[in-house]
Amino acid sequence: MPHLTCEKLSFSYPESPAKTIKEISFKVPAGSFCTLCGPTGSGKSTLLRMLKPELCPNGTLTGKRTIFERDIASFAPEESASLIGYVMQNPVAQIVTDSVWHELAFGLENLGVPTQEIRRRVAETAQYFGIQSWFNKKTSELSGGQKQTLNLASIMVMQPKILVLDEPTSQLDPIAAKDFITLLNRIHNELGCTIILAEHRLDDVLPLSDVVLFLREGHLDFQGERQEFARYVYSQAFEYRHYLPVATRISFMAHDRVGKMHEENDVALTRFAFTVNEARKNIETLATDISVKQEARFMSAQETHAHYGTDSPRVLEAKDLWFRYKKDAEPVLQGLSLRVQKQTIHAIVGGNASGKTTLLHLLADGLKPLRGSVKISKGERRGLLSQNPQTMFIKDTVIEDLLEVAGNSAQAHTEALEQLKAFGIEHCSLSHPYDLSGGEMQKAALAKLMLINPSIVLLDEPTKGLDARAKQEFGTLLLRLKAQNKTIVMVSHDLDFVAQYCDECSLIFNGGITSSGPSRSFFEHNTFYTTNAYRATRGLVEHCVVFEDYMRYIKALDKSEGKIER
Amino acid sequence: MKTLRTRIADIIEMCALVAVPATLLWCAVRSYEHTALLTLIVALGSVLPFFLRFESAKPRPRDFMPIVVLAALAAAGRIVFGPLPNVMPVTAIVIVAGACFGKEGGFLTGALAALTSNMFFGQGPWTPWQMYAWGLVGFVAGVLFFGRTQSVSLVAVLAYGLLSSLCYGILLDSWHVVGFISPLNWKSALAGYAAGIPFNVGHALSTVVFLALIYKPWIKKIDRIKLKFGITSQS
Amino acid sequence: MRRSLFSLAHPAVIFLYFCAVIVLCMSTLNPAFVLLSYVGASALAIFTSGLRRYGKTCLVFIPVFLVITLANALFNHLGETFLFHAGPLRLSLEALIYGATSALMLLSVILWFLSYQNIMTTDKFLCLFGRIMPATSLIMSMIFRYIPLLANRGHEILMSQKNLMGDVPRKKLQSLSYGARLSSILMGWSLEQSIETADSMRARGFGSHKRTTYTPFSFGGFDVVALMLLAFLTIISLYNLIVARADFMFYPYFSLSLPHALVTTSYALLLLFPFLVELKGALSCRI
Repeated sequence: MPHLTCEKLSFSYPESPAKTIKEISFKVPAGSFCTLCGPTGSGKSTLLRMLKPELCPNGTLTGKRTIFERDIASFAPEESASLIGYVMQNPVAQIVTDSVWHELAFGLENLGVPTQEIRRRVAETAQYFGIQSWFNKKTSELSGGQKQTLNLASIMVMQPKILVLDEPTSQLDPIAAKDFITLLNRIHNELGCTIILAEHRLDDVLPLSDVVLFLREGHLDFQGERQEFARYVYSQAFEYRHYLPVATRISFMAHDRVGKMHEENDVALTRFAFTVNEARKNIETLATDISVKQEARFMSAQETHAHYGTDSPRVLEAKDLWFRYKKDAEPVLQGLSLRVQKQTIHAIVGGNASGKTTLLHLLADGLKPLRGSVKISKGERRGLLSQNPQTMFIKDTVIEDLLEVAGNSAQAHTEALEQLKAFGIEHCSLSHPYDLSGGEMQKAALAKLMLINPSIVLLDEPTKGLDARAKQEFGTLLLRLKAQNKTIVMVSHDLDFVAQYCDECSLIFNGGITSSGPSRSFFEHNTFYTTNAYRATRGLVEHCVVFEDYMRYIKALDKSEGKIER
Repeated sequence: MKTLRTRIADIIEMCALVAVPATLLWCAVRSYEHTALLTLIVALGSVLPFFLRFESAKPRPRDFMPIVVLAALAAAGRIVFGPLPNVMPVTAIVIVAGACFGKEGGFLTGALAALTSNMFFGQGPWTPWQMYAWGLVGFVAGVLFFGRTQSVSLVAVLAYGLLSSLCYGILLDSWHVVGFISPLNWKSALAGYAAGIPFNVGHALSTVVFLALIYKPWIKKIDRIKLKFGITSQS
Repeated sequence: MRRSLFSLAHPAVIFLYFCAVIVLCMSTLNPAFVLLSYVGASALAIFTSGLRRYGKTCLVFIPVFLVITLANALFNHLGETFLFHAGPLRLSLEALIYGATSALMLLSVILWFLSYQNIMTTDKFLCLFGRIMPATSLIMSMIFRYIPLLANRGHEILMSQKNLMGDVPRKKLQSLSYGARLSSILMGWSLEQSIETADSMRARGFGSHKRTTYTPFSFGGFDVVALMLLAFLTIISLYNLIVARADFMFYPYFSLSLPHALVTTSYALLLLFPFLVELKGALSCRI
């Protein structure tokens, strides 16, 4: 029985004549886990908001959208509130009240549920979501992951039949994101709740999905089961490959190779991998001949060795840093030391609340250490880009904001425009900074920062909330800055990004740096805290930390096979 | 067109606002014995109509979010300047709120900023007075400047800031003077008010400085957001 | 666990108690009762906020006390027992006592508020008023949610801007304009993000129905007993205060006949009620 049906659904915003959503038709069966994916700006949020009458944006809507065969627009607010739950992206902005228990009760209070009933439901929900231990806390004291769990719980307390989530994990660190997805899976399996989830980090989500919707530029390019989706991307949407989980991409390569060997190999019969475990099996089937394998492993390992970093002079050094925010508080940093080499991209990784951001602020000279010192080489200048690019803007247009730093001369004006062009956002120069998309705002903030001409750029979680394409663009940007003789220090949760673009990597734990080194060897030494590509290839392929290394291995396989055949 | 209901509510609000100084004056003239208690209750009562109106208005969340943000900013600002008790950004922020969101918005921002910031500074018999006085500052700012933010000159706003923060000080001191000094003659009253002069002058000057710094940029930003999100003000 | 402590009583009991005590305190200038009220307020304040903080508060009280006492006494010609003359200033004992009593009354009200705030936490206050004024109590809860949020964001903005525009200037006026710049960013950003909060409220059915209020507090046996006892004491005290009015006068000569022992005891009991209950709880914990 279809639960949610959309037929020829179109939508356009009042200010633009072009349609954001173009004649979309799809069905989501009751009790399914549906993932909506697509590049940023493809209309995912707009589509999700149309499923919730209160949040439906203003504009022209045509076509049919029904839930339980009833038009969505016909739902009364209280019906909609208790039937369709909606979780948004930003964990902070969604929280309404000051205490956890009040937040949980908020929705039920709105629906006029009697106190006794609220008490019961709040208690049982808190139990189910493991909130008891922080039930009496203030919402401002929670971590990002707890905040998003609270947001989910305070929706689930209203017992919705359909749960709509708009990129709920994009602002969370990977561990918290995994926990959140696990929670969603539990809700789906144990309560039979229909889940419609928009997401661009598909590694954890795709293995759980029954239905995948793929949206591109307002068109629904694909709908169906996840294996079919993988086949679709494999054969028809090549440029979308890098959005898929590493595991799936690995099995794509495997299929490519097998396809060369067996002519009759049919895409329609292949089962692609979605988890690391499945991917490992796939890698094992790549070649049967042991000597071929060994030769390829040796060859690819030799090639990757060339990619290790080299020694260069230090530009930034922290020695024995101690820091705490309040008197009598537990120190956040306890004797931390760190060295950053010139013209490298240095990543600082570590769990939530491990003091990464504090360290960055200390390195940027924004905070003064309790003890210890931060030294930079002569003539170096530091520039900090904080987690929220909003903190950088004050004027009404991007260009005015840039000119504020560049000065007001005609020369400054051209310089600022050139800067925008270099960052690929010259079309935004007259927009209000806050009207830009996440990726554009990030770039505009970096463009502004680069105008003070820093030689050391400090970045706090720069890839948060960016989709695969935006990340790639950002990574290229970083490499270009490095080539322009800049040193980059970034704090990040995004291990795949770090492995791909960073030269050095330091792990911060318990107030100090526990390990530091070239990022390749850093990830190769870790079992849990490492990239998906490394997990999938561990013990099978040497030095394979990012997907590109794996491609190198495949090439080496081809070569060695050729050699042996000869 | 204003409905009968809003008209009645307007009249009740005006009466409530006038009741406080009227009671103070009456008590001073008659040297009423329980002045302190009576005026405190009247001040508390004068705040109520505004909150009751807010309760019955059923506003959309996005229409009252600015009040939440501005009141929280005012309270946070007061906490930041906590070590300097006569430097209170609250007054300036409440004036901006009144100018941007009308008299009710201004009153609520002022009253709520007082009530919530006192949770950090300590509640006291001054709480109802601060709620009333800051509410009044926002209310009058709404009457004077709402809908005219483009045409009213900054000088007028600054002058209002100076006057209103002085009035705020006098109102708060009046409770101590009228309520706890007896018999009240011009000498004793002067002595009572004189003690508050350094505080009030400091407050007035700091308000002028704050307003000079934030009024224009804040108005600009708030106007943009009002337009972008279709926030309606003035209930 | 039996809720025998006053601070664990139902918010309504706590609120009504403080209303009664504060109103009673302000309705009489009988020096004996004012003093009693001050002692009761002090006992509870010391118990709830510790001796140190109480001492600090009392230090602030000294100038207030002096100003009100002197403003009362110096320009007052009603008393007959003169202490000294100096030109137009005449200080009489009666006026001095009147001023001191009046000031003490103000201070005890402030002390009662101090304890009120220690016992009636924000949560309790919001719960209590959630029933009477749901929208207002919700908006207050939202403000409390925003204050720490703004502090965090302010810190982040400071870090960003320090790096971009240089350190906070040392000169006062310049540092103020620097601060105004930060606050301007904070305001714009927070207002922009608050719309998302508004959406989240709508998504959870805000405004679709008449709101009910959830409270984690329930009205238990202790609350009923306490409320009845306190009501009884309040009525006696009220009667007491009205009747006892005749028992004292300031002018022309100060006279004070001690009020009836039974009624005084009941007033004292009322004032000391939370203190005694807390003390009993504290002692039984220790054993």
